[in-house]
Amino acid sequence: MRRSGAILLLVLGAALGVAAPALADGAQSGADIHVAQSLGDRELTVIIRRVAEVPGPVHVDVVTHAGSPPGEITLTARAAGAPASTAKVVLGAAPGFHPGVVHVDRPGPWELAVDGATIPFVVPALVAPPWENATYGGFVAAGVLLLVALGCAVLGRPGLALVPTAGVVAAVAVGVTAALLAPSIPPVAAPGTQLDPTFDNVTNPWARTSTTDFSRPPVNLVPRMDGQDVVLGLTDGSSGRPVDDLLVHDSAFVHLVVVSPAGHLRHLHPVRTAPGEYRARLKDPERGTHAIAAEIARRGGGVQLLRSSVDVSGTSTPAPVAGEAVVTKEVREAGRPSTITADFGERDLQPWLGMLGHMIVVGPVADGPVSAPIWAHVHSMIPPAPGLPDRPDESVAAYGPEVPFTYSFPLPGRYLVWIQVERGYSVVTVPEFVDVPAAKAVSPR
Amino acid sequence: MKRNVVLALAGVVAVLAALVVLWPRGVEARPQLAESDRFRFVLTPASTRSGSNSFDLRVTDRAGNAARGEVTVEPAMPRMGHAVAPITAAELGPGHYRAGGVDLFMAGQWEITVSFSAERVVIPLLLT
Repeated sequence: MRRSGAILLLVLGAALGVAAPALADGAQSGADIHVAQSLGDRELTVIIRRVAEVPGPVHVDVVTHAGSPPGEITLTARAAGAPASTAKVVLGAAPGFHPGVVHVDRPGPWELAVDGATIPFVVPALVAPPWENATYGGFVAAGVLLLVALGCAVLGRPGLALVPTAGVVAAVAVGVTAALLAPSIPPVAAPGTQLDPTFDNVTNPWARTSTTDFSRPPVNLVPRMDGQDVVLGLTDGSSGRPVDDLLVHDSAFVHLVVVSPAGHLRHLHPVRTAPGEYRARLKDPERGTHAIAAEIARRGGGVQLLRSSVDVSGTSTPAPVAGEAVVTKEVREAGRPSTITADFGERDLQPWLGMLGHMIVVGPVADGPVSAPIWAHVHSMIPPAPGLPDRPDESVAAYGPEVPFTYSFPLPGRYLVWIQVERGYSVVTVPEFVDVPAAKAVSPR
Repeated sequence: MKRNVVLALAGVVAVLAALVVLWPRGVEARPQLAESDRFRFVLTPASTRSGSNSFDLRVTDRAGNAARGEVTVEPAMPRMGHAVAPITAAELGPGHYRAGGVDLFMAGQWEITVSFSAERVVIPLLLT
């Protein structure tokens, strides 16, 4: 009897000791969603915070920027078959964070409407992965079988006790194997990144599908003007249907860069107004043909760049807006990495679209930006902070002053370059020219 | 008594075997070889962890003679679409170069392009 007690203690100790690491990999958790939105005359960043429990509140921060008119906007969370939840957010005149709370009652695909703009997002379900069930199930079964074995021994049937004892060994083996292998099993893709999110696949992300290649056809872009708004029509390149599966990448659904005939840059984030329709306002436009380029990422695939042009019947004369920075250019010949560093003087830059800085490159500009063969968007990254899954938001004004970019200009010639950073909730744009010399020698590779 | 010794030995062997199988392994900093039409490059990183790093480079021609000239190291991270500023390596001896202060701030697969007298090779480097 004493010996059985000792064995029981040993087995329980081993079970607890081994089971501990299995707790480390919890159920998958979502992250904050940052979406830049050019909504009417406002440039907003909508931050949907990680949903802690379902049903429960969703905390939404609406970040306004300098020059944003004060007013009130309505947040509405909607899902098929669920009651809509509405909150009003009063935007002050001072730029900054304006919180609002809406409620969700089930995991699955949801939509957050910010006035007329809609942001599809996924409320993830907390689902225990199969290996976690195997680990806990194995150890629970071992404990139950151990009690059965002890009961048999106490009742004077040691021969019969051998059967549950063998079960204990098998159950512990299952639990230990699952616990040891768990860290090396690749996690499933977050719901809504590869497959279209549905209530079924969000609540069971481990369901098997026969799909191995998740990529989708390319997209056709048709821009048109509607008053002062540029409206982008996105259609599927294979079926012609509206493209309504854009992912948030670099904190926006669409990064729209518009270059006016006089060479002025706008970096806008059109809002989704209907499936496959995105809209952004061109404030005080110039007359003439504007070059436009849209960066998008479809679900299950990489990022694509869609270039086009649109005729604008504006009347404004171009107003030169130039941010101040000391720009150091170390330009190498075409094909070799050049470095361009902007020094903004003080260490008070804020992350914009998740990055320290952005550099838009258009060129070589022989006859205008519309026909420029190269169009690039270079990032200056914020070094990752270990142990922090969420990126810093715009309230952290502690970066810079140097913003470095490295880009290999593919062709020789004159390029238009704009460096963009955020300071004091205002985007600073520094226009520059870069003259790239031709390659000296032809390299074999 | 003898049986106990055998059991203890078996236990020790089992524990050692489990340790050998389950011991966590990092990525070793091994020399990486790449060849272009005329030259042979061997790059040895000081570390395979993200952060500040330095590269030891040996450049020879295909016959094994030390090659002299300007060696530039151009790190890039293709998955992030991000490149860092090129670094010119210092010459330590004939055909022996060292690029110090290379800030590879993110873990993952990097591509180190080494260029030497109009020839370029790409050397992959996995950082943990």
